[in-house]
Amino acid sequence: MKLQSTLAALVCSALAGGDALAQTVALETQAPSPPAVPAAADSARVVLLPLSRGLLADVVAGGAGAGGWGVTVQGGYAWSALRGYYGVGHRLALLADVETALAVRWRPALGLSAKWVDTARVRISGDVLLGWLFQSGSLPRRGPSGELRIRAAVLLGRVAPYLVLATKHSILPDRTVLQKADSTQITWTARHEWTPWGTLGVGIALTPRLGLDVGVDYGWVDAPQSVAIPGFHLGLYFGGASGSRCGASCGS
Amino acid sequence: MKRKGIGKTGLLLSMGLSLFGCSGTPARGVDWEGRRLPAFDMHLHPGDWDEIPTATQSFLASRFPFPLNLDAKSAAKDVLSADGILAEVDKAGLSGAVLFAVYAPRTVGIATNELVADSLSRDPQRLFGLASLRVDNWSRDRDAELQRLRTALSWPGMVGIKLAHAHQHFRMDDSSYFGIYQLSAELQKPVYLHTGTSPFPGTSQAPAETEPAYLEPAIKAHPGAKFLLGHLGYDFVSKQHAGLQTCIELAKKYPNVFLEPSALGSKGSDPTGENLRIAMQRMREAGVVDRIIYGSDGPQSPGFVKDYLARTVEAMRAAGYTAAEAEAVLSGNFARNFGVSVVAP
Repeated sequence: MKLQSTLAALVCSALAGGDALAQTVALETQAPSPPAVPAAADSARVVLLPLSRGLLADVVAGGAGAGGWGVTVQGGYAWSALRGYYGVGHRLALLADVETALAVRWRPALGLSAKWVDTARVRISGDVLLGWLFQSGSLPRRGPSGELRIRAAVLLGRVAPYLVLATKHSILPDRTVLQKADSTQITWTARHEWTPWGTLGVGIALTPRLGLDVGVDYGWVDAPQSVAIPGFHLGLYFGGASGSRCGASCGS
Repeated sequence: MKRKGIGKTGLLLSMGLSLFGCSGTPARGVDWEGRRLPAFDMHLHPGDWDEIPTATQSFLASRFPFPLNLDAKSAAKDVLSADGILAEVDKAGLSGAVLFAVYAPRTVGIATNELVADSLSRDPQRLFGLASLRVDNWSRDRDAELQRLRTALSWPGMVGIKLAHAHQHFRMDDSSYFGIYQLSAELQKPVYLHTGTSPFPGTSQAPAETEPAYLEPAIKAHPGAKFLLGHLGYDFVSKQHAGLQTCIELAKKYPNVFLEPSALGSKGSDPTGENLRIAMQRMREAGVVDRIIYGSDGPQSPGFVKDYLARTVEAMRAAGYTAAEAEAVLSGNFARNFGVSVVAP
């Protein structure tokens, strides 16, 4: 049994790219059909997850499993962020984000992340966030904000190129006070601010619990009438994987 | 005054623009059928951000790209300073430029005659200025303001007067202000007048303060003064021609009327470039090319000065201008009427 387990681990590790720092070992006494490691496991199976699965995939592509958690600190121009998540279900995670542009524009938000696609090589998830926009400086703005986001990553050993596409919407109310000789008139108006967003980056696992994230960002704030300059970020992430199983597609 | 660096924002912007191949200082002049034509921008605004009303600050900030608009004061400082303007002038390949003083405290703010004079000292061979005056307490301060203007016009490099009735809130046909034109004629310093509506908060949109037809009594009464009609009476609110034909007719009727097509052809006011092409074409068809003086109304934002020159050249090409006509518009008419020697490319 011990020999079989070792063989299974080696085979799975090789299929996942030969990653010597594979992070999670799961033992199954009754292998499900079809078996994840067909040649080596008949009565027992060991699934060894590559680094790009688990924490790295959860961080860059979302959709952590139950118990998984992670924190990412990103710094760059113009955007920086502190992001965290906690897995609460098989495909569902809670999100908490604080984004800022040059410490002038802030948007704290809470949300949910749901895993849509999860294969050995690809992870895709969808996020929804609700928060509040605070902007000081030359163009003060504040109001409720919402975001829909799709994250996709290709899992390649210890690296994971990823793409984020999002659409962010804020409602910006304006209160106008008109003081007349005999009365004061207060009117409320609101306008919509749209920010389409794209990030192209790569996550790099340094250890099973720590990694880097680097990417280019384009947040077209107040589109389409405005102009925006692209930016970049460098991030550090840490956390714990959910311990989720690789699933039937592991190594396929 | 020490030369200032381009600043953090400018550096980041330069890096950003360099990524898109936008860096580098081009050779001076405009390429036209193998010749380099000298170009001079007669309409640029230096500024002091703190002298601009809050609403207008927000309006201006909204014109900057994100994230520069988050701290527009720093971004504006980089392009509104004398060094920032010279950098934009160089980037556009211009031989020089005219900087405007402005006294419109309720709308676009104040750029004093002293600020302009100080800016001119950065490069007296390439920078010239238009002086201005306050008119908001005219019945009380008229004589003092005219004397102040007279003094400013005696300073080196001050080649004319700047007025903007819509921004300064006074009628174009109000004869109580005609002393300004008398001074213009006496000192032989042309007067530049904003015509047409304006998008700035607090600007008057009243016809008597925007439509160039209301200037005719002043033009007629002061044949010795040169009137330069800025923006060709363009309607910047609805982004369409409004006073173009009136401006052309005034130029045909009065030899002391000149035309300046600034701002109306910007990306924001004329996305397709069609309005600027129509303006250049109609002025040529009317035979008033010798009255057109090029200006951009920059610097506005980094790259605007260069971009507006390119759009104007494109509009002239599309309208069939010859090299001689283009040269007259870009620098010759200005040099002749303002008594300025334009540095050849």
